[in-house]
Amino acid sequence: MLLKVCDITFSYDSVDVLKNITFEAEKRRILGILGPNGAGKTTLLRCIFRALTPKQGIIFLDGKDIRTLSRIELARKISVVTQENINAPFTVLETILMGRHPHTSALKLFDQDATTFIENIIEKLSLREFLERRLSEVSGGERRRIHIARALIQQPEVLLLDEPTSHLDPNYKLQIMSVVKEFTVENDLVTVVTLHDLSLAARFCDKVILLKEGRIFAAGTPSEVLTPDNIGEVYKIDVKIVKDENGKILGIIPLKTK
Amino acid sequence: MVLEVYKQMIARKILFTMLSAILLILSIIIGVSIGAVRIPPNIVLKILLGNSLSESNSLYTIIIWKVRLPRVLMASMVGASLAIAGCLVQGVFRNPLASPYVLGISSGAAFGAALAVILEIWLIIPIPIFAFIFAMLSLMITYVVAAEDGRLPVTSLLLAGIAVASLFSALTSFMMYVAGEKLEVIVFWLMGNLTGIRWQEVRIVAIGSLPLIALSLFFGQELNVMMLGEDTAKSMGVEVDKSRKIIVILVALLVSVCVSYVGPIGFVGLVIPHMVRLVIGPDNRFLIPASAFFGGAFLVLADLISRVVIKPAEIPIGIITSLFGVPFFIYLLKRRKRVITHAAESM
Repeated sequence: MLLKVCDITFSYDSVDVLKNITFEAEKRRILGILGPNGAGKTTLLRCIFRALTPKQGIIFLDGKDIRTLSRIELARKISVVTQENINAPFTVLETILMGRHPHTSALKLFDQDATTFIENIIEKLSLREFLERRLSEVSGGERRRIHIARALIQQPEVLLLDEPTSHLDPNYKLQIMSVVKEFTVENDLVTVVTLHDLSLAARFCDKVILLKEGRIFAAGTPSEVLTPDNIGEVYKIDVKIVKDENGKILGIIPLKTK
Repeated sequence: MVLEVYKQMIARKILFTMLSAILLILSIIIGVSIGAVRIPPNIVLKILLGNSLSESNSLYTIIIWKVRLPRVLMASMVGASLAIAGCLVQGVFRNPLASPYVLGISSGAAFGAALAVILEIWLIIPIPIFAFIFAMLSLMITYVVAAEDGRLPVTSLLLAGIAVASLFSALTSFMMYVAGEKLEVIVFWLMGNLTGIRWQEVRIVAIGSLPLIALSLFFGQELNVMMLGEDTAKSMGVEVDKSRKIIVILVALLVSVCVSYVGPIGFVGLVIPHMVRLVIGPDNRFLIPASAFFGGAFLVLADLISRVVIKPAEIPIGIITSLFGVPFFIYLLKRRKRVITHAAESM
């Protein structure tokens, strides 16, 4: 599976929010989309799962223009965890089982063929003890895990995550990114994730794209892209970058605004 | 393991849905048996099953087949339709305060009815036809006002519905102001009633509403998914804009068909879905059928009360649904306050 974004331009009214975005994302790899607030990260994701229609450009999934797929066909290939503060009145189990929606008929209550697959995801995301609780009764971090489980149960080839770690404590951040990494490799997923936490991006992403005002400012491996100069230019901050002996970034520490 | 937990989770919902169905059947039998002439339930059953044509029962047969059964069936269809419309509209708006009447349809129908009475057209064209025409007109206005570039945003829809409802209510008030001695007919219609329902009306409403009721069952899971948020629903394969339009039209047709014949009966569409939700939770795949049965039973019993409380006179059923429904609802609300607070906050 290969996700190919070709020359995407998107505008709200006449203001271009995304300009000539082109990149590729490969399977078994996490691609991070970085950039300050308003750079167009979420808009880009929304174009990929066709919540928005770009003004120009094409998005290909394995060489196929996504506009030629029906929404249900697309949902069998791409699943998404959005930033919508989803707090519907359902139980945890009801919520994650809805992930089977694109694969089952409207009147079928339970997709029995997928039982083992579903069990496995519940196990990996340690959701067993929450299954009968209501979505409104679990913590923010747990809810994030639940929606990731729901997205994985949708059995996608491409997984899009919009800020999966925002508002989470360090433990949850690491946990969620580790699980995402594991699933990406084990299930041959193309994973695209928007992140604000640069240290986390450096650590978990195989490639990153740095957006500035709707354009790609830099793209490549984390150590190529996340340099003090690039970060200074895009985020308007001075940073200190801590690396290990192999040159891999361990952390990016903001020092002061420019 | 998951399968077992899930089975346990839905067992209660299935049980309640079945109990509601039984309740509906029982209430139909009771509704047919009680009235000015009391007919024992066992004879009712015999006559309904068609194997009792002995002399002594012929009067019963006439009462049941000609008078009570059509009325009771009408009540059950209207109750089911309004309850389903309530489920759909609350799901689409993700708002527990939405009732099927927020689209302004019933106000349009009411105006149509009032106009027919004032202009004395009702002597030629029956009131329901006129009410239905204006219900459709009000739907069109709401729809056109709310639509933006082929989409139907829920906030616009809600505001447009309120505006249209206000407009037609004002027009209806004006009609009532100038109605003179015809005022009584209008007021009687507005309070909702099932008086004088015959097979002809039952047939028309059945043709209109039963296919819509069946169709609505297919939207359960889509509504569930839509309650997770618009983008999420799209990413899960739901054509949100298209489904929303279909559901809105489905609600409008369900409501129009019923309201045109029996008047704008309140309470059922707003509260029955809540009552059922308190018992079985928000899963629309169960909520829709269970509410249909429960709403049907509720309206049959409400109609029964409206017939017998001050007989031989009848109290308009709209008064009964609220008078008896509200205390029951408050009881459920108090008992399960925690749950509904959750449901309301998160819808």
